[in-house]
Amino acid sequence: MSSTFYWRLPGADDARNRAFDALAAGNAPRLPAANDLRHGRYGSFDHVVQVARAAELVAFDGLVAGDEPEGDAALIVLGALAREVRRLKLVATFSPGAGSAVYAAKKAVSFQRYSGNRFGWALESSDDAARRRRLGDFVGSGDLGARLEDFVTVARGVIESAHFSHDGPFFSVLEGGFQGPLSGRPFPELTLAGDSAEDIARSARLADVHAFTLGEALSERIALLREAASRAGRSPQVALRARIVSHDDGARARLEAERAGLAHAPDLLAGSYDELAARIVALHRQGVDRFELSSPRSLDEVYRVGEHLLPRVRQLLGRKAA
Amino acid sequence: MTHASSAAQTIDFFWRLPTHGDISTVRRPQSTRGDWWPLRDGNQAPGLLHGEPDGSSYIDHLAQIAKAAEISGFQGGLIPSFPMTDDPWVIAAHLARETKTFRFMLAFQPGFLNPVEAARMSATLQRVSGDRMLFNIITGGGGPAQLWWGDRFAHDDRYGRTTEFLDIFKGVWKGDGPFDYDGRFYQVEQGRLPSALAATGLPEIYFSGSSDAALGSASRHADFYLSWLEPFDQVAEKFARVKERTAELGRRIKCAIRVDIIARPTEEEAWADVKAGFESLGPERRDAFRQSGGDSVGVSRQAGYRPADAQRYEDLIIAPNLWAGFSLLRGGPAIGIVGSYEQAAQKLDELIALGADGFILAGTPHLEEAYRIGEEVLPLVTGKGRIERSGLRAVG
Ligand SMILES: Cc1cc2nc3c(=O)[nH]c(=O)nc-3n(C[C@H](O)[C@H](O)[C@H](O)COP(=O)(O)O)c2cc1C
Repeated sequence: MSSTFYWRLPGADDARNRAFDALAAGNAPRLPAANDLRHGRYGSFDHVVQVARAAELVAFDGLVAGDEPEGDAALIVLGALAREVRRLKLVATFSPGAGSAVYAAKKAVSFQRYSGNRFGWALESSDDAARRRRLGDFVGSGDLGARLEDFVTVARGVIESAHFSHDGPFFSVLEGGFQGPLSGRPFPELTLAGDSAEDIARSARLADVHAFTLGEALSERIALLREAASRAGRSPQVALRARIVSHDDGARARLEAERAGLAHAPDLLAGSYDELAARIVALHRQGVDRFELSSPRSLDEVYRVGEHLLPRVRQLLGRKAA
Repeated sequence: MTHASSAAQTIDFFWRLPTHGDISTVRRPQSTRGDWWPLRDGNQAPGLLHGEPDGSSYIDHLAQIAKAAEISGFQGGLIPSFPMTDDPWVIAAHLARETKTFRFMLAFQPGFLNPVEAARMSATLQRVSGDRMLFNIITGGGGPAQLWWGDRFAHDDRYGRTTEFLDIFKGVWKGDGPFDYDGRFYQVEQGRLPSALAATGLPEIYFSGSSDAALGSASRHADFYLSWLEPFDQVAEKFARVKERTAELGRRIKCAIRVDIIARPTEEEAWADVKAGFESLGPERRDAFRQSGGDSVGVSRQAGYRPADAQRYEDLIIAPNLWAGFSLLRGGPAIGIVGSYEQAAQKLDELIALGADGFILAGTPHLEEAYRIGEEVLPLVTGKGRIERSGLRAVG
């Protein structure tokens, strides 16, 4: 299988997003000499749309909207993008604690209908209990896995069958299931994450994609997943989450990463295009099918990756294949 | 709130987005738009060209209707939510960037989302649309449909849950600091919307429900109390009751009516279209509109007219220009307005005089009728009753 590239949209911690949000909140523009007409008209979303469009134009395969408590709701962000980005896959991150499984499934079906089946889910709950309670989610840490499975069971049931009943510990439904034009849509491609044995076992059974974060013992983690999956007779894809800073001069890339406070981040890919292309090909050979990249300089980096890095990766992989 | 009605004497007009397909003429309800019905000659299903996928979909049709409504003088539109419909949040998000002023009124049952997540989704929608979202808070009609959604709570419990939901929704959005709540249905500890999200406008709340439990919740949280059209004396009584309940809490509430209109240049033409539509219905189709058991007080108030049992369309004329057979021509409430442009406008003015401050109008087909009602009926609505009632004089 060849590798695919997804871009993680800039969120609440993105410096440019924060600056545009300040503008939207009606703060005085910081252009002392300019007749500045932006006042109150633009916000971070206008920037996010440009990043999304850029990713489509430079041949990425998909977009991921994250679920940060300080940021926007992924489903809405992707809905608002869906008509401006016509080819990319759209992966929404949210927690099974956010609401009813049937309701979430209904949204997924409308997304599939409107986007030509481009919609995916990344299901994750914070492992910090206090943070979950701030979000109104009081399910205990030990029950998160069971809830996720119950959520997927119900959502899959109502999407894939027209008469579905289920009485689970967290979600129940009686004679549910979508009918008419809402029926027959594919279940959203399901990304799950986590490094624990339970997380890996769950993905082996349920996930279409399992996401690891770049860091120690990646090969071992991938091997565990592959083993568990083959016992279950399945083969979920492996995605790798990493932050990237590239440049034609590797030293400049590392300098930029340092300025962004990422110098020692374990999930960082920083280097020249040639260095990073070799690195990505090596990771691909280690078993990574999908790269889920983000960057502190989202727009610029989307172009650098699309224009300089991906062509090198393709060339290296193509040469190997030939 | 930037988009809320500013001048006290103006009326808020909304249109409606048909979320499970549309019908191309009231004269022949079998002729349809959307993929909810089989594609045959005369039916349109966006997305298929000569039977092959062509890259468009039902959202393209909804985009057309939203644009027609905003250019024709409507503030926005109600987006209903039932088991067979597309989802209102998804629709609103998809249309946010290609409309300019259209306000998205999402029909939403509070039980289906955690209130903190709902606040975050709403605030994101405010951010991408420029504060153009608002709610029609509904609490569900019970029966099999409620269980279909995965919701097992009984009628009055659902309203208790609606109230708690709105307490938290507002608390994390506009509260002074981290918000705690320990309710029967929902809890939150130190919850708060991030500041960039909380800076957007709290969505206005329209609220539907006719029962006593509904009024209890509406009086505490709603900006507008929304009702289907009922005979005018009942409307007046209902509005008076909800205003009284709200005043007891030291709050004020406005009232609005959701009603379909068949308006034509002459009254004869309007009734001729009703007659044609009524007579084109076979018995099977009428049976499809008989009620299936739920617990909604509002629904049983409408069902009293038993439109499916009527033999002649005239049997369903319950007052001048009011017809109680609309539920046969499309799913939904029974009573609507039929008449000339002048008569339709006059009915709206009468309702304004009875206390209506807003309307959600609809007509079939929703696209062309948005233009027609906007061009022919809205300009004839004077709003005079309301102006006199509030003791203000019209200027200019
Ligand atoms: C104007 C209006 C619009 C409604 N829209 C919806 C809707 O979109 N989806 C839905 O399930 N119920 C809808 N309902 C019905 C309500 O969910 C529910 O039947 C009603 O609130 C039951 O409460 P009651 O017993 O207090 O009348 C609507 C009701 C009214 C009056």
